[in-house]
Amino acid sequence: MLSTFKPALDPVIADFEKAYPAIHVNVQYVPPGTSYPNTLTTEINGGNAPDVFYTNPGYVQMGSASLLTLAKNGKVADLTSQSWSGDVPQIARSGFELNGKVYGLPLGGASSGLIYNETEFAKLGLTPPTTFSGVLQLCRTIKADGKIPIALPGQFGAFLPLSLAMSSVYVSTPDWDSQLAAKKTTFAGTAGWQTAMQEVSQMNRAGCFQPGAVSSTTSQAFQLAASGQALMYAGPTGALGALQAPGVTFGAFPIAAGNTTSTRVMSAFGDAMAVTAGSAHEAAAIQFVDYLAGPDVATPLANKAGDISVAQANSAQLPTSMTAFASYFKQDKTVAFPSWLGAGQLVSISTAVQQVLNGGQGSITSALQGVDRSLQS
Amino acid sequence: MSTAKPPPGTDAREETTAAAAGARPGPAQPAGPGRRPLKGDRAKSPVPLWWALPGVAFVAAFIYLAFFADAWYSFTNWTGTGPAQWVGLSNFRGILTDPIARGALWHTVELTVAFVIAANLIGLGLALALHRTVRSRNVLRVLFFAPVVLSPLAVSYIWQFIFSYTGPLNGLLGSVGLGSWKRDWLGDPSWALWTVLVVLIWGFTGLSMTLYLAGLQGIAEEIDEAAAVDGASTWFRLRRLTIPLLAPSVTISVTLTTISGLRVFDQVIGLTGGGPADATETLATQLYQQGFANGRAGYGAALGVMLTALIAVVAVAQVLVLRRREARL
Repeated sequence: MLSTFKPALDPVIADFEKAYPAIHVNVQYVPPGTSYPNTLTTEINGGNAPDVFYTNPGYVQMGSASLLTLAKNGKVADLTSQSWSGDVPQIARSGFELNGKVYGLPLGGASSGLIYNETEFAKLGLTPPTTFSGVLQLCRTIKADGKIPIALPGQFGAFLPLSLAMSSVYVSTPDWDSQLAAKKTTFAGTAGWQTAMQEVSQMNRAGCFQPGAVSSTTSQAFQLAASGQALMYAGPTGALGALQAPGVTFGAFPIAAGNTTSTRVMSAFGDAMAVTAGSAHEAAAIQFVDYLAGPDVATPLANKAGDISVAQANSAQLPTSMTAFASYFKQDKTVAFPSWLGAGQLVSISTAVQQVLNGGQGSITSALQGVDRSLQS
Repeated sequence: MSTAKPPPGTDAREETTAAAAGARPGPAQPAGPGRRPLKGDRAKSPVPLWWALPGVAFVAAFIYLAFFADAWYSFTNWTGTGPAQWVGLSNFRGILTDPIARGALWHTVELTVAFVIAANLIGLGLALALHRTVRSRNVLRVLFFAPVVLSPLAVSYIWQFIFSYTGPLNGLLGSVGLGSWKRDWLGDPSWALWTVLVVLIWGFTGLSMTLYLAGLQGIAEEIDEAAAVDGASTWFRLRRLTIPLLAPSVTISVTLTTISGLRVFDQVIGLTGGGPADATETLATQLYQQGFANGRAGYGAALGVMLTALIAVVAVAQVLVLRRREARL
């Protein structure tokens, strides 16, 4: 299991063992990054896979250890007959289903936008903007107040253009992912991606990011946001679970496009639990996964990890920190997690962001060509 | 110094070779056939050769078998799980045509050349400075050697903080009136690679210094003194006596720095992660990125084969050339 889930999952496991005394859950937590997929892949290849394990849906998010890649290779059990399998949100099904069969439990969902320090916003009389020009104005106001507007982890800054692209790419071309898969379009040849990168460049020019943002690591950017030096953090809303500071409340809001009506948000069910096919304890493993899917367990577990549960996404009843996203879920203004987006693509988009921050407007096309090359390979 | 001083009548150059190669200091063995064990001696050895079998089997299983398995996978499209399909030379062609991989190769070469020159010059300079004259030389030797024993990855994270825009380096520049020199050292593509180089040199120079010190201690003091009495200047003695007698140390240090430069990984991952915009990608970081993060195990294996071949060719060529030069000297 990913170590970031430890605080949320440990109490759940304790409760499960009380409810099912015949089953003992021996959990191994592994840090995120490449350690987790490497460990999992080695265990699967060595015939020593855990009975239940965490992975990412689709084919590429966790490389060869992604849920559907494993399903294709017969490594994970078919969970279609479980009562919760019908609840997998429509928007996420393509990442969990193969040939009409469900292979994983969506553990939690995240969205895209900016995480902000609600406490400081209230003190300064600021409100989340509803237009892109409002975002730029907000940056100028915060900067004039001597604070850093947005902490951007430049070494891993892909989520910023991705958030912007939800509106600039997918509103006009909802089937952009299919077009990309069919090699009918490219990043560099898509006006929406050019717009998203231009907006990153505009934000940079408006002084939105901290000095030295290009080389900033995730932990450095996190530190700026947690310490109150930066009032916003550019990353997935899942970071809300980890971003904590005494006496401070954090929330999240979507990055608005030109206007509210054309704004879309990502609905990414990127966390999945799977059961190893043919595991010696398959029945017990499925019982544990069923327990995680239970209504009293799934929502607190997802919320503690900074995510939203399947039930919350389906009903648009989001946790308080994410109420700004509720109307988008209600009005179906959500975009699925891009099917082409894996660890390698996140790196190449982050590289493109660094290029844009260093080179300005002129480098946008070459930066996007770099993403195209990475995807082709 | 005095421990490795050869007794009168012994070839000082041979003694230097032994000292630089890490031989135990002590009275020199007489030259001649008695120095090496003969076949007959080996046969009478109380330690049977088969005792080495567990070690040989271990090395064969975990080094050679792994290498040949990696070489086989380099001709496949293996993703890390599932079946591997034979794709011939496609991975190698991909590496040669991919601008990021080509850039990584170029950065590796740039970094290695600069690193070998700088680490050896600084290491030699430190060794000469701390060989005899400085009273606190033992303390200074320990201080300069200390970075060698520290984890390169952990140390790189500390350097990451030092070089960050709001870090101590820029703070220092600002406080001494050099505010215009402040920059995002790791975020500026034209500076990032050289920043990695600084950390690499800092981490390795101590070892280079130790290798040269070992060589210097094998050189008889009398030779230098005799040349000084004959009126040779310090520069002349350094150029014509000390450096030629240090040839074995040069061979070892240059070879080790070359290998360390070619396989540089920890410092890049800890400082820049290969960025900004691939400006510090090296062959080793690309191998990791492609093979593990991108799930292209076959392609990563091909990068591994290329990196191994590059290190082997360069290191062997270097040793051959330098050994030949040693023989001439």
